[in-house]
Amino acid sequence: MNFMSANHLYGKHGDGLQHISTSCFAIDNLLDGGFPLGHVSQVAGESASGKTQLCFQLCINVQIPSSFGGMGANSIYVDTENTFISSRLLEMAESTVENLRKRATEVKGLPTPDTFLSTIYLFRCQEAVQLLSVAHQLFDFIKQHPTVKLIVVDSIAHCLRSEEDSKTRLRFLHNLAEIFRKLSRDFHLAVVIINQVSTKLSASFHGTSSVIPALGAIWSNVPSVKLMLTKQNGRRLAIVYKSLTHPRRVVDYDITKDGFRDAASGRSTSMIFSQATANDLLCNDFTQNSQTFKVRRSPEKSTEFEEKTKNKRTRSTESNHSDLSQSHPGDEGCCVEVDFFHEMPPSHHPESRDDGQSSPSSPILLSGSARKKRRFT
Amino acid sequence: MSIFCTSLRVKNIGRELFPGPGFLQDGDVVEIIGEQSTGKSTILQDLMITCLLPEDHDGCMSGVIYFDLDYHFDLLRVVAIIEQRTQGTENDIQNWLKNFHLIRCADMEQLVISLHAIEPLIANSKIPVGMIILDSISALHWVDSNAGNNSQYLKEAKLRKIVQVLQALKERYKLCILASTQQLLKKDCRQNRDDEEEVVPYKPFLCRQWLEFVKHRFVVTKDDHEEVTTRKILCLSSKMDTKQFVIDEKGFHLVKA
Amino acid sequence: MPIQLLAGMCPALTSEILMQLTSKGIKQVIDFVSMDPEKITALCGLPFKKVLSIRRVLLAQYSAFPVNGLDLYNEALSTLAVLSTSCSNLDEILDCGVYTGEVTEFVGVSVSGKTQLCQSLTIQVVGELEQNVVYIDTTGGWSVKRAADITRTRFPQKQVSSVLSRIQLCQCYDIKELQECLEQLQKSLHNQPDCFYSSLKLVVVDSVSAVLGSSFVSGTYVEGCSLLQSIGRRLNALAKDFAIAVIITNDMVSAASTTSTEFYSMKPALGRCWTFVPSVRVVLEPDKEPCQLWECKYADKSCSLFEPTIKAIVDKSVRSPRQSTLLKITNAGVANGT
Repeated sequence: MNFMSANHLYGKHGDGLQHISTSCFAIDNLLDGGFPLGHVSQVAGESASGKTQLCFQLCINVQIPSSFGGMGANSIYVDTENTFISSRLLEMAESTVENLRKRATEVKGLPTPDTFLSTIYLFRCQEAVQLLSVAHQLFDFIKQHPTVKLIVVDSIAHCLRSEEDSKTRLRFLHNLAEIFRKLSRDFHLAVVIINQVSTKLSASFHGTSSVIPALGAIWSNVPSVKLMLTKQNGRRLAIVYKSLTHPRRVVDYDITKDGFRDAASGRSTSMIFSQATANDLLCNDFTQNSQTFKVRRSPEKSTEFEEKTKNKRTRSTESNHSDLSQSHPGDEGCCVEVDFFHEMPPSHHPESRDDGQSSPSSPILLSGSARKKRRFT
Repeated sequence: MSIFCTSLRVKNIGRELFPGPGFLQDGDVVEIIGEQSTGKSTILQDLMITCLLPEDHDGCMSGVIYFDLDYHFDLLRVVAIIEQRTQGTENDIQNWLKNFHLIRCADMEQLVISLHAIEPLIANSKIPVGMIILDSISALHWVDSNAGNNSQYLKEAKLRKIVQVLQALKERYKLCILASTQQLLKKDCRQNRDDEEEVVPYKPFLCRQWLEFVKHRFVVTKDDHEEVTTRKILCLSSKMDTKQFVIDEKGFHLVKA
Repeated sequence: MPIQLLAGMCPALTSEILMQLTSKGIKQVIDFVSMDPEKITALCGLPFKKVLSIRRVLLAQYSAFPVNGLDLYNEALSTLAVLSTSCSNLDEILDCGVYTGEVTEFVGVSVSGKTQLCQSLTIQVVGELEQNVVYIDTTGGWSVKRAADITRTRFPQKQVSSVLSRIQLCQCYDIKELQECLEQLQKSLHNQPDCFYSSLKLVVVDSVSAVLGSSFVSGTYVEGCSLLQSIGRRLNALAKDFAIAVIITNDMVSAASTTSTEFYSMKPALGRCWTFVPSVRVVLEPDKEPCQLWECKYADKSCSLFEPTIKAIVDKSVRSPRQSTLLKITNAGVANGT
């Protein structure tokens, strides 16, 4: 085993690790820039709280090129609930590309929304045993694809809850916990796990119930960073209750057409900084090393920005069919999926793989064209 | 080659705790069983201190050999209790400690061999050895049980050898054997719910030879209810009533009813 | 593994004698030593003097050496240290702090401050007492930035890199890695390859349940307990043999309650056999559920800027009675709660 001096680690990472931004500055600030590499994080919340939206945002943000202060890395999306919708991802990618375009000095070399989608490696599974199998295979997969810096699992609770035998469930939980921790350590990447919620009955007689992340006490000690997405009085609130470096805080967030964002100004009351520092801190740096890319989000400009993108979106939805039919054959805005029963390296060209011939019992392997057909019929 | 000692060396030890004459006698084997933090080691150490102290402090001035099998023994705590009890000088305490020997064993095998190896120490000791303490005899139970064999008989082989050598030492040198046992198995309380009697939290798991070897068997319990700690000791080998006891800086004391 | 009798273990144990012994079923050291020498002589037809001399050598070589009380006392006086936790409330319930030579366990539910407490104690030992620490991280909760922040807040005049250089970190995410790590640590403490190990005063394992929790799901109950007992012994031996304080953290799991009044109670993880391992146990209980919104004094009711107050209860101690106190986690680490 390797013993490392903490001093050496301090020198290596300086005052911070690398992080993947959530595009919500309020949350990023509490996590020193976003979800950290080298750690397992958890996002829990009730349904429709925005967990999947956050995952999509992370998958896009990790790919922002280093010339814009991003990581320029790829991501793996493990989907257990069939929540992966490429159209939504495309929408969010388009908005991100717009952002980059506005701030870029040159238009050449900018990534397109399709490039953003084509480097998300998608794994699908329904049962716990399939999830475990995928997790095991990720070691070799990432060795072959060393640019992967993010693994998203949406969600872990779904397949484990269907496991009735508690001993098997425990075994799966322990194995998965060990694998995810090792993946994050050995390959220095961020593992973000989505969890559902369950109700905990209070011990007192006048039983009040409260909502806590699912999978019980054993799983609760696994992630190092934990968020709970909740709603109150029409506000979307993110409780960052376990963080590596910050105390517990509650912040507002929002889900717009562009993706996962900060709440509109005037509603984030959880800032405790003085006004002067708040303006400085409103620079949305994606990593600490960014020098060329800064988005200044002052209140008046954000509404203007939203206006512009709203117009753009209405235009794009009208011309959806025609746009797609004009897309390139090899680059259809689809995500690369991997069939985990055959260890095939993913390819960016959907035609080269089996096209929708899978039987119901085998894991779902869809080409981009097959999925698109599903979307429009 | 055997040495017989006829004097009652360990008189005064454990007043009122033991049935019959009320105190420990030469050649007695005592086992104290309990869950974690119930006071087993503290009671053993209290009895040990009485054995080490000279006669003018109500002791026996005899030697003690202590097998610290769970690595929890803290000599400074023992010295603190001696100081509270006797107000003895540093010199006195150091003299008394000369009759104390501590042995730490890595596994059951080393324990068996070490028990055989201490015979010259006992035989040649200037001051006769009054007791051998094993704290705790169950500290190696799981490791020993897992050491390969599936047969229950073979699993218990080392413990049987321990009983054998302790038996020989006890008979030859008339010393007491004291041991603490961790309650490693949970007593199933559901069966006794209908009974009015209090459920004794004891489930034997050591081998039959050990169970028969022990003369006095005590179970200690602790109950933390609303910040008040109640400690009880009950004797399984006789019809002695359950007694309450306390642990303070002077050691272990039975609470007078 | 039982030690087998081999020729050459001692001068008198020749291969011929060994063959005679093994032919009668005496194959291991323990068998030879447990049998009466007269019986061996009669059984194997060996000279009595030879049997005695073999026995003497084997006993001397494979038994544990008894330490005299006086020597032990002098050694204990010179090596015992109490490591203050920098939080007066915690020091008070622990009777001045964390003691060397024993294993102290901090148990709590998720987000009760266990890792923060470990990091805070580590910085206290390296910064204030200027002794070395080995931090074994099994959860990924160690954060260099947090350690640096605590150092800067508590010791602004000291250089962060020099303080952190006293910490050696090891990340072990399964049982095998943990065992290797502990073995390596033991070897280093024994051989002292560099001066780091001569001033090593604290070893932190955060947390034991992350790696040992799976020992019951794979394998039998006996195997699981055996593993826990052996690792527990190893930690205790480390503490006792090298006069080090060992701090471990453990999780809480739900307990099947037999009484009808409490149907949701928690107990330390790793079961009954682990409860005998630590000498001191402190339970940490946050006063509010961290993943929920709390009532807030401000007009905006759903906003909460407060950290939970943590109640620390001494559940097991050789020195202190059962008592509790309040703690809080701040920028400077663990502090008194109100």
